[in-house]
Amino acid sequence: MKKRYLQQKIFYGLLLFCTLIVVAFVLGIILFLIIKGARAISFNFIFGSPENGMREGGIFPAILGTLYLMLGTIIFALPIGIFAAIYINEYAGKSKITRIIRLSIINMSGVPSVVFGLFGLGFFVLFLRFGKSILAGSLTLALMILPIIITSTEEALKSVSDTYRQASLALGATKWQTIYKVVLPQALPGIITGSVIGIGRAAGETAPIIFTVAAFSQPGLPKSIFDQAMALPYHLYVLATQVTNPPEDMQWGTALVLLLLVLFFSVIGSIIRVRQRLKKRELS
Amino acid sequence: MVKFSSISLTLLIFIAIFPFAFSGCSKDSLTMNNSSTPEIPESKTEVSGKKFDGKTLVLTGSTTLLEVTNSWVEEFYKEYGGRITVNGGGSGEGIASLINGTTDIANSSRDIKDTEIQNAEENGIKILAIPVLYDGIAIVASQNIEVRELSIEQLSKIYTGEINSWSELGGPDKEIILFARDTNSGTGEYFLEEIIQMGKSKKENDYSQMTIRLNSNAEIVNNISDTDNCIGYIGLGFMKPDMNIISIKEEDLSQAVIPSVCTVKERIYPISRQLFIYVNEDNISEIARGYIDFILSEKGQDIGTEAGFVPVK
Amino acid sequence: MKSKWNNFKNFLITRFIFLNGIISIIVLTVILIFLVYNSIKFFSSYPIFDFLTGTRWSPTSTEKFGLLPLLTGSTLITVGAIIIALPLGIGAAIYIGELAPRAVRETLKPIIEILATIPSVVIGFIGIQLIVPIIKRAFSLPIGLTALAGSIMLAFMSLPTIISISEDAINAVPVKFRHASLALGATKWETTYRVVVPAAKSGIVASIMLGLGRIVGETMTVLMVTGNSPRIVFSWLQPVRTITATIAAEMGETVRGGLHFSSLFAIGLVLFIITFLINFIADRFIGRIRKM
Repeated sequence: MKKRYLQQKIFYGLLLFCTLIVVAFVLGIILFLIIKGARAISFNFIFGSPENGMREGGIFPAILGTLYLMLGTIIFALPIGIFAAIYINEYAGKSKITRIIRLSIINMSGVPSVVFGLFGLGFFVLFLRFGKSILAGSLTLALMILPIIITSTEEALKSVSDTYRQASLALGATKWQTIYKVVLPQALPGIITGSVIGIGRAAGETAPIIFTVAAFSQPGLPKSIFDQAMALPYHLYVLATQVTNPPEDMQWGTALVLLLLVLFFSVIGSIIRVRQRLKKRELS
Repeated sequence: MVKFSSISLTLLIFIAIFPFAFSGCSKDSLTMNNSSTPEIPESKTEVSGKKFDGKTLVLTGSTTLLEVTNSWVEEFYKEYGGRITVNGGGSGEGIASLINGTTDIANSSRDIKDTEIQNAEENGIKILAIPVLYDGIAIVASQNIEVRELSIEQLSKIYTGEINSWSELGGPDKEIILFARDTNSGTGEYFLEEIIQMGKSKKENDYSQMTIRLNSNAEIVNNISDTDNCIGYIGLGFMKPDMNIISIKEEDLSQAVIPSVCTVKERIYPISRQLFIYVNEDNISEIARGYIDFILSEKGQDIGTEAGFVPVK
Repeated sequence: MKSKWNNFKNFLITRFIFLNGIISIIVLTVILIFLVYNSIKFFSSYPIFDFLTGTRWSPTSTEKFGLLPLLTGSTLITVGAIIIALPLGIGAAIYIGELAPRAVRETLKPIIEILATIPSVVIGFIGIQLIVPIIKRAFSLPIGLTALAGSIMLAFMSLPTIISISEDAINAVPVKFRHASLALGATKWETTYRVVVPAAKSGIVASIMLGLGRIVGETMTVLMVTGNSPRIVFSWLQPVRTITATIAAEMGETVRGGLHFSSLFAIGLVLFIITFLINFIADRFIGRIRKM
């Protein structure tokens, strides 16, 4: 009997150990980034341009480029994603095609990001002749985050009670009017959560943008969607592997800014989600 | 100003046609060289202010030139403005982009191929080659290796794995650890073609399977400095006095040459090459012209020297 | 008249929404067409047999496009990552799902979620700065950029997927199973080990498959920490190169439309097929959880 409890203790210890390793890894990364990166952060670092072969100065063009890309991505991904979710949840019903759509969404989210990059290069940059540009990069990223937006919107739509739909239809509204005026507003927080998480994901991706938009350096900022742009993740990659002997501070600083940008969006997403959950609990 | 540009362009073409005309290591030739291009410093005073604001310039090509191009562009932008984008992509990509019309200037670490010239002609593009820098590649070994000189053939055998122990070269009985640049590095490709394949005379040769590929000159320097029994190659500018630099012989019997700015410039040192930019001769924009003047100016060439290359002037 | 217009408008809206609805099918199909089209172009000038059995990847001057070095690189790193991730992931999932008090669980979950949001290029950077030097010193290697470094970093990147899905599966096991086992005199650990984990098996397998998909498809991290040397080695202490890293490193550096260019689409197709199969298997197992 004693042996069995000893066994239990040992294994519980092991399980706790596994968990602690994971937690230590995450906190370790963040701690290192903050301690080492904070040294580089200054006004000039955030709002200045790279100087002296990227060894001095700031990373403003890369930050701006990433912001442009995030904006472009969401402009393309959001409407398509919402309409796709509306179709799946409101129109399609339980047909064979919904099953195929679901399967392809799952598979799309499993496609490696570098394959999206290949596709973006082949289709947007070369076939549609957008060239390496913010447009091509945004579209590539938009395709990549589409599964996130569709799934989260679909869940949000599902959570809207059917009584609202029936009431609206009974009042003589068409199906589209019901969706547009009744269902969508109710589902809005869920949709925003999905978009915010999607944008955060897009901001951190490197592989899809290397061939579709990212410039090694670009002292003048981009002026149109057909221009290339620098981007934070690619800039970190360049600093870490392509530039000879860049000061450590520059690299850690860039990594920290990228992490904070991505975390910012995921925290906002979580906050909206939690508030939504609390509200629902209050209602029920 | 227009007149100046055409003069300097003629000069550029002249340089392009006679790439070796200005090479030389003696002080006389250097000063003579400077005096023959008085326009360059003049141009700076003339075009003060952000002359090229709003004008676009796209540069694509060789990764060897990528960093120095970035430094050139930074300085150029500071002085003249412009909307400049720098891309890597390798020499081939740069030339292809120039032919497709998607770049204004192609950076290249190799001569243009006949097929590329033909392709360009078919597209109605006349390519002008402008040598911008010389590049020498130094062979470095770990500190514990006492081998002082190697021939090209020995190097080739080392990198194909045919010679795999230092003892075969008069060193310790230890396996040779090979460092090389990544498969997408222009330097790596150059080294493969000129050294391992011995100027393409042994086309079947390739890097040994055991070669360790590194991303940059700096990584090779760092790794060789703290590991025994290694050999690797680096750009001239990454050489430091405390390194174990190996002299290179063209043939078994010829004299071994130590790499230096002088031996590279004189083309005595066997592992060296010219770096070019290519432009469409019939369609050189104002800003492209300004940029070319800038990189060939004393300041531009100084930036090149700082980045580890040998100036063409 | 007005109702006719309304009908037409409704028809248009329905069509438009339908088109958006099947966007995922369209995109997947077009991606596949692109990969296959370029692969066919490649195989028409480079024999598919040489591609599949070639032992050298040396695309620039000798034009040899052998898949095997890249495949062994990817396999080596994936196997290593799974060996590391499996005990950590399932262990942490059991701890969080079965043992942790509620307050601890609510703090652990967001921490693990953060790991999922860290961009892969940052993980790669951390690998270069912190893990690679340690590996180099610990094994006194000529170079720390090795398959092992890739495996370690990828293992952690796959953990959020493995932990969250495994934990869901563990939570989905009905409480009465546990009560029954405890009532029969089993200890809590015996219940977890003999009853809960077997019952959650298909969910755990699904989580591992999804984690595997993430590992195989990951690009930037392996590009940065594994040393980028395409060669056939069977040691975790050697530099290797994966399929994904090859595409990322070489696509930007090749002449568009050439043989090298299309070869990268061919290895992209191989990658697509591998990840498709992995996700397909994962989906099968997830289907089984729902039935439970």
